[in-house]
Amino acid sequence: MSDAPSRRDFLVYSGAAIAGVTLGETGRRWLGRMDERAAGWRDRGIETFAVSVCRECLAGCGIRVRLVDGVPVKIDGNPLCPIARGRLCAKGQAALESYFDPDRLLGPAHRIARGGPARWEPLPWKDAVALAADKITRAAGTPDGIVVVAADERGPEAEAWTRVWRAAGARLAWTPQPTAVRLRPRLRHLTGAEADPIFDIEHSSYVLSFGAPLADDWLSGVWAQRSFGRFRRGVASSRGRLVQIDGRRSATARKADEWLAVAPDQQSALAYGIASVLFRENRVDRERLASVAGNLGNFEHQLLTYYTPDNVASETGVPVVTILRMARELVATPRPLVIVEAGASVALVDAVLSLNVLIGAIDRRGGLFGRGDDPLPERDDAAAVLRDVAEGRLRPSVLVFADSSALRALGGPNRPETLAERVPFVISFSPYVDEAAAIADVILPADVPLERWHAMVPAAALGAEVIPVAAPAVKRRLDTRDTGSLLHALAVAIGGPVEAACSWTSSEDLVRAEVKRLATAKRGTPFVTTYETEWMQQLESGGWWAQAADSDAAFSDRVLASGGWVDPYFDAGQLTEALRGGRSLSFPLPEALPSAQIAGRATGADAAAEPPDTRFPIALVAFQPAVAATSGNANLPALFELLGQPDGVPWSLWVEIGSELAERLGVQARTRVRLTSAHASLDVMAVRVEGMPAGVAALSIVPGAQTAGRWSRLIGKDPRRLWGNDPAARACAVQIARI
Amino acid sequence: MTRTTRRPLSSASRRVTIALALAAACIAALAAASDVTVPLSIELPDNPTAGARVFVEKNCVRCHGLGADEGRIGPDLGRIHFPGTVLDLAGVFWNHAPVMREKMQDLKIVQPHLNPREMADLVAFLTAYRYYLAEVGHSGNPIAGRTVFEGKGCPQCHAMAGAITFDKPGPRLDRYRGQYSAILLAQVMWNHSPEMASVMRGRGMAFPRLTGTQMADLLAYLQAGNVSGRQERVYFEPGSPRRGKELFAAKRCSACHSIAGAGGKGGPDLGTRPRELVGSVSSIAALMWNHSQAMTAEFARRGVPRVTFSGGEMADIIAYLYFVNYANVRARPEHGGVLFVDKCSPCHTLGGGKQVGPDLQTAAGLTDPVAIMSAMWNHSSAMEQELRKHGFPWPRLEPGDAADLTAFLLARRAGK
Repeated sequence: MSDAPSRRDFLVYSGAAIAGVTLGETGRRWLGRMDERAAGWRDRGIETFAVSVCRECLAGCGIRVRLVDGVPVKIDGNPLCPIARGRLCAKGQAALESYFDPDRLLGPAHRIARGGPARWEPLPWKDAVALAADKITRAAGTPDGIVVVAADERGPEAEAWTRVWRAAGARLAWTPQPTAVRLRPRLRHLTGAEADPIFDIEHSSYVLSFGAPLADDWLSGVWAQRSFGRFRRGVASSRGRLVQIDGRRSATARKADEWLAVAPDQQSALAYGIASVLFRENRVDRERLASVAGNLGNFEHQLLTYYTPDNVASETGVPVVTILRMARELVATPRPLVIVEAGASVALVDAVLSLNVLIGAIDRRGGLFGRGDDPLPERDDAAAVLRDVAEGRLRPSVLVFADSSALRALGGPNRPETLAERVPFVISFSPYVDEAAAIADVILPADVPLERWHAMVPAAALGAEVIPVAAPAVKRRLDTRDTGSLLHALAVAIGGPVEAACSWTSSEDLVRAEVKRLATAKRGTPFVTTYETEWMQQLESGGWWAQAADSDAAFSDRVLASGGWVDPYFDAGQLTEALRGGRSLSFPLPEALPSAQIAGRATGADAAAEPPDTRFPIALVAFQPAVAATSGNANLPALFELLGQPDGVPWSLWVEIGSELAERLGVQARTRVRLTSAHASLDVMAVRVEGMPAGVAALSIVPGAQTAGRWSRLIGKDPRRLWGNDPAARACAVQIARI
Repeated sequence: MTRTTRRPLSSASRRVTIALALAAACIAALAAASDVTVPLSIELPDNPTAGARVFVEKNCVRCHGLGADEGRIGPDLGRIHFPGTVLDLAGVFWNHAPVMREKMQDLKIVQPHLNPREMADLVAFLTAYRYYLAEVGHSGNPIAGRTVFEGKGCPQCHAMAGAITFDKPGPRLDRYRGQYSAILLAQVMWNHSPEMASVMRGRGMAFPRLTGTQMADLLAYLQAGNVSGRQERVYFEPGSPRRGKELFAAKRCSACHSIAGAGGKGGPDLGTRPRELVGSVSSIAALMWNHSQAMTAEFARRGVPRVTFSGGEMADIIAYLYFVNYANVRARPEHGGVLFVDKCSPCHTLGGGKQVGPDLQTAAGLTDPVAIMSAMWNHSSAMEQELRKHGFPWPRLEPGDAADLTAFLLARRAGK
């Protein structure tokens, strides 16, 4: 057989070679085209990160925004922020939806006609500001003039807001936030110290909580949850024990070692009952208290007279043995602490703070400290002011809303539209179509938090002084303005003393001025790691301070890049110091047990004189789910998905009832029931909760329902109508019937 | 069972080693006779706290915490009293390198690489650690301070809050409330000590002597009752040992005090009393206060104006006194030679070319003690592997060894 290639071989090889060359060339051209395309892609999908501050509540947690091609795609905690240390709650993560909210206002607008369905038309900024300025100028001379309401925030922007409106002669009112500031007046009354209470949860060994939603959203939500985690992991050498006194089986009650179902208005009786046992069994360190005892003798006498375990047991339904056991447990552990919900009644806050004094928790590791020196100015409660307006006791010519917080408060007017009927002109600065915008005549939409400059005083929770500071994390998406610029534009249009009071042109000016102040403070540091923060704290304890940057400009850059500034020094003896300064303890003297005010019978201070209404045998307690407790946008679908956990009733309101009542009503899982009060009725989903007392039901309240956008409208009616003309009461009497 | 065996050295290496051994033996013999020491040039740090950032960035913080931070793997460095020189600290680093490397492997931490600048900052920080935290951070007891205040007769001249002051020769001390720096008070006490002594003599009082603890308690008492609020706290920036050294000369402290034999006569040699000076600010301040009368008399005798301090000068001086032993390194290069032969020569040569490790005569970057320290640290992992491979134990360095070895290497590299 010949080795020479045959004709067939020649043709096969030639064909293969031609095919190879052809395919190779085709492939090369194809790859070339792909390269050309890829060249265009190289500039796409660029990932960057920017720091900002979460403004969904007053905790002021630092956030880190992930951007792809400048578009925000995810929000996480800023690991350098000493408040949250990289953690973030669901509300913070959902803030992304505020930026992309389809119901955001596109720009300034004015209402076409008053009355009837709201209709607006766009207005150029210049005209919108001129219209608002004209109304404000005219209102300045009228009897009740201008009323301005906003969430109770502190910081340079809030100060600027105050200065401008004071110069305009307006009456300012603020919506109290569920922070430690609300507990401050009672601490001052007890100790004389001008300080916010700081609860050292993580180092305590035993926490007795009176309704404090420690595992949900308490004082400063993420900080509270971090502290709770450390408390449980045994930072103070052993796993801490939590006893939750709560009217409902909240998430905190579920996580507690023990839950006692006691309605909110009975909790102060239980707290005083425990204090009474401490006195009766001589478990109070009298020697330590001797030098600052003040009216301790009267206090003790009052408790021993009225708050015997038997009396308290009959009032609260808590067995005597349980009251005795709790009192003994409280002083048997090395570092006990008693905590309370921020919005609790004055009587309960007083009782809790007094208990902390009796168990020696003041200025003790794992106890209660005080922070701050400057007296805070008294601020009018916006809800009460708006009620006065709605009911005609106050007749302003112009009503200004910075946000909708006052319209969402439980004590606020139940029908916001009455405000529009009573007040000739309403201005809203809210960027969302929310309750305030719904009644506004002109809307001057401010930026949403991701677009804003930030410098604020967060809710007091840590011993450290923290000022979160940040530049805008993203570009402005719509035709909105920052609050500083808005105030400046208004001030210039109004002129005179208002213009003179405005020394800035934008929020950036305000924030940069704040950073400059911090640079000259000669203390603290831009946000740094935990270790460096502790290092600075140790240095400052010894009287040292290490400069963070060589120049003010470098300092400013570091503060803005890290997300804020912190002075970790903490004077852990402020309360003791206040008492050492000649001031004695001033215990509130509790009155005789309010037997007629037990929840489930009636509410209100004068209810004792009235017989209970048998038509409404159930005490309805209102609560705001942690995910819905936001002072910002209330149109966040991601949060509505989380409603009703862990029973799984997303996108709806629900009422929690005990097994006994559920059996009586024939309520199974997810049965709809009708709540009827003396004022209104409401159909909601019922959730059966083991352990709740028979005479109590708990109703969830989601702010902004119906008005705050397309998502919130799906939630349903505003449940506050059930409270009728007694909006300040925390409980109202209802009847519950299966539909 | 596998038995590790030492790899035989090449003939060239053996010759170099023998030569080095002979040289070292000669040097050692001479050293034994003369015990010659040479100073090593170590730069004093300008800002000892700069190393805090290195400590975090290089992940030291993952194993070593602060006093209050419990549950770390490594020891709390603030609790270790280390009065030695910077090179002794380097020796401790070196001795613990294998253990640290093992722990870092367990925690999946990459061994940090330190350049000479970072190493200098880190060792200065570790030296200052105790000064700033363990001592100063634990402030005095104001209640005990009140006892000191009364026991030492201070109320005879000074009034506190609420007291009548017209019959007191000294100023009211309320002004120091809220001034959260012991340095400031120590400076004021030092500056006014002659006047105070004069008044005390006039009243027939003995000049009070204070221990470090008493001084800390007294300062805490004077600071207590911070009624003026957070905003008015006054801090001092941490003193600069480098500036302190310059001040020591400029204020003519060196006219009376010597440092390890170098300087003037009359006062004690501050280089020979490291334990006394490696203490808290208040203990150093107490020392200065107790000796202020003798010093004032000496100033008068020599006809020179008394030294006073202003601004941050006291902080700088005390920082220098704290660091005086840190940079006061005298080494015996001859002993370093012996150590080299014993601990280093199995892997390294000096002029004999690369063996297992590089030739240290020509290796780049080994120009000063800190550079040698950082190179040793950076290569410790590779060195440990080679030593394990060849069955050598990890060479441990006793106090002074690191300095001697460094001096020997630098001398050989300089051709001496």
